[in-house]
Amino acid sequence: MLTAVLAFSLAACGNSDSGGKDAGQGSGNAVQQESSGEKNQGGEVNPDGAGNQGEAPSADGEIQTGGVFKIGFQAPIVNLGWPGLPASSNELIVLQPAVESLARYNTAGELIPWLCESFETDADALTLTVKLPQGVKFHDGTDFNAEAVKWNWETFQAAGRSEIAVIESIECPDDTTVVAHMSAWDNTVADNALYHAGFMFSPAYCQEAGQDAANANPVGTGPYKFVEWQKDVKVVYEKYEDYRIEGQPYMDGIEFELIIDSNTIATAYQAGEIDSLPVVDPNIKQIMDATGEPSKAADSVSGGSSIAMVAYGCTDEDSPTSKLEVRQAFAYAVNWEEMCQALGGMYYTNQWAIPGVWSYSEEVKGYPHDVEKAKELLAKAGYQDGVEITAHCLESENTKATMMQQYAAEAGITLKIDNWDQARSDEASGINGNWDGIIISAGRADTETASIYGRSFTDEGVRYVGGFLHPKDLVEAIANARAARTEEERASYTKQASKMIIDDYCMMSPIGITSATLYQKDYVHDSGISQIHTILWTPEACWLSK
Amino acid sequence: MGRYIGKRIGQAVLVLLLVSIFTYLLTYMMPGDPVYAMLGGDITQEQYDIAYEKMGLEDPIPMRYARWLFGFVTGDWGDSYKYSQPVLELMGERLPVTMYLGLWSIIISTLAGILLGVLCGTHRGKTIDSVLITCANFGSVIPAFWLAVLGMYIFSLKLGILPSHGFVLPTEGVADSLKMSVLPLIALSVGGIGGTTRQMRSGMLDVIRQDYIRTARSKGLKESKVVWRHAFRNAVLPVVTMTGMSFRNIVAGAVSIEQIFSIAGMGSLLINSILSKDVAVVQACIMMIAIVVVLSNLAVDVCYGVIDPRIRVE
Repeated sequence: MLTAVLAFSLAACGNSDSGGKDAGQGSGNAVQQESSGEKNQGGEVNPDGAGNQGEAPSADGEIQTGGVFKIGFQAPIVNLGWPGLPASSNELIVLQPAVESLARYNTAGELIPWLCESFETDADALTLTVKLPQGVKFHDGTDFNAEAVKWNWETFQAAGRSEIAVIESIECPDDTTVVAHMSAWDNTVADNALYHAGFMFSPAYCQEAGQDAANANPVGTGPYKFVEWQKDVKVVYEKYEDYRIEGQPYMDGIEFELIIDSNTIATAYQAGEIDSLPVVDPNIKQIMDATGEPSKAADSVSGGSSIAMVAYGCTDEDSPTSKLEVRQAFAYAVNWEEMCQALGGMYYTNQWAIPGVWSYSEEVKGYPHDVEKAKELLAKAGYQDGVEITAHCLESENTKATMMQQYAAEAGITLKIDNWDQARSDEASGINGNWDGIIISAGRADTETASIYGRSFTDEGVRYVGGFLHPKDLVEAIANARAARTEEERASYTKQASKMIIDDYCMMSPIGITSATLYQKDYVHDSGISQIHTILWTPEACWLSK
Repeated sequence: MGRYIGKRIGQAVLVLLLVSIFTYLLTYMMPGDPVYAMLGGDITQEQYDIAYEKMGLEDPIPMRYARWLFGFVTGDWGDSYKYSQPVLELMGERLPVTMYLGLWSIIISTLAGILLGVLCGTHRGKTIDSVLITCANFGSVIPAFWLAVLGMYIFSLKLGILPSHGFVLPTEGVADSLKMSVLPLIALSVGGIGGTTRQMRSGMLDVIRQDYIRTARSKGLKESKVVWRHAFRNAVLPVVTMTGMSFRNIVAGAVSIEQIFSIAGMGSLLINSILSKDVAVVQACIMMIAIVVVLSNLAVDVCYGVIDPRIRVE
């Protein structure tokens, strides 16, 4: 019968172009950053990393135009078109064909102008001054100007986002200049205002349509115009003919296919129904590994990654992990490096920072695997007969939990696994939350770690803030890092904070930095996906040779 | 009959009310704050407060339920937190997709199951009976999701003749719709075909041995008339019950299949809404399932009366 049904079912179905663009250059903050004005022919590698990069042009040396780039996406998309609402990395990836950020990052993790012409921070005057290009228009035909930036930043703040809370007023001396005045010096203001709050939406459209309608219809200045968003199905963009960079974009459109099931999305990719898989879960990676499909992501990226980690509940006095010795014992008991290698898809770090970038501290000792030391510390804490700790995690983290359970048992720690759903996990790690034992979870991993620390280890934090301690020396180091006026000073305070978090207070144990993954067909060029940053990509430069 | 139907409608209303109360309570009793479910954990107190107020969570649960119930009966089913659109509008987009696939799967399962069941029942012990009943047993126990994945592997990945995901209604393109319907319909129908075949075969075997069938044959009636006019009408009653019961699967049964094939129907909407604690949508989906179940049960009872006059008299 099955064969009959299957048989029945089967019977029933029986220009070449090249373009250039401006790429910015820069080297950190507290200095002036300008677009280089250097023209970069599509397809060539841009040393700044902000523009075209990737594979060489087609055999005849020219970029091909046309085609629709289909990107498979697993994660749910909720917000796309209102300042401050798109918060997840997935949403930020999906909106970029239509909405551009004022700045992007290069391979060194430095912020460089993109939609803006230049920016300048002044620590004495407590200002961030941004110069804008003339003649750029949003897709609804309205001008992209200083007032538009002001409205976007103010709306971002009104949405309750904390990134640019330090900005207390914004003035627009002329159409192409925006000056943000800070309440206190914060050297992360440029990163936050030009990247996190830097995605520019059309104020005219947003105000006319209202938040709900605009949120489902992103209108920006990007190379592709939003066409439709079939919720839980796909997001469709078409080429924007009047894009500000002449000759770009190259393709007719971009479609994000939203497919939740791991097998389905892997099949769709392998069957050639989609061209790129930028963000994948471990199941897909396993499927791809089994079929020999290599990831085309860069070996390491400068930002937008995440760190897999254990967050110790330090503040619940009934929990054994409120004792430093117990936390350290657990950290010594687990062989983090071995675990990281066994899990795959990530690279080891002993702190909440990306190895190789300026904020990474060589001074952090961490906790090399040492069972005897773990036992000693437990005994010192009064648990010579062993101790039980609860590990809270999503079901998808059970592999990590089980591995830790085995390591911990050797040192006399019984790890009891308690699965949470996402909402429960978010509640415990959110602003008013707390937890006993440990949470096996993930956090943001960017070059600029002082901001990340500020979000977890200070009273103004938003994530893991209830379960982590806020010791005075750490809070001061974080504040000093953010208020530093030189790069050296900033790096020094950031590294001090890293050492305190790991060595002195042992509030978290890193498992590894999640490697960027990208499965992409060979005929896709210059997408920039997972090459420099895991969130920022280059839809304007992308082209297809199929 | 009228009184009987009236009584059943009264019971149905009571059932729906109880279902709505339990669903509402259960959704809020699940661990996890709805604000975090909607916005994720990376939010400030200000963002939390804005969302908390927008979602109306400051009122006690009974008041929220009463407000929801009033809205439900007056046609205002509220707004989805997650999708930022009215629930009725959302249901209007999703329900036709699920109904289309669900109804076709019921039609295919019922017709194919009846035909195969009659064939088995009238050829008892012969090779065709053995082959078909083995296939039916296999079909009725095979999980729909497994069949879906297998179908995807064979027809999408290996043969490349059917799409692995997506769905459009025929109004958006008949050819695309047909291609995209094949795999989901196979996955949704095979279990039903197997079950109906077994039920129909069993019914036919019971009836075919009755005295009145022997009498019909001895009167010299053609075998086809004996089978379809005398045996079939009596043997099909349990199948009618089964078909009526399967209507509930139009919505509820599509959950896994819609997830696998990335079809934006009621099933995937229900799952996504439960995960994000989108209470208004969860309530609407559950109520829709409850209404379909209650109405299909009612329809089965009425059909019994039509098919078997003795029930009408009783």
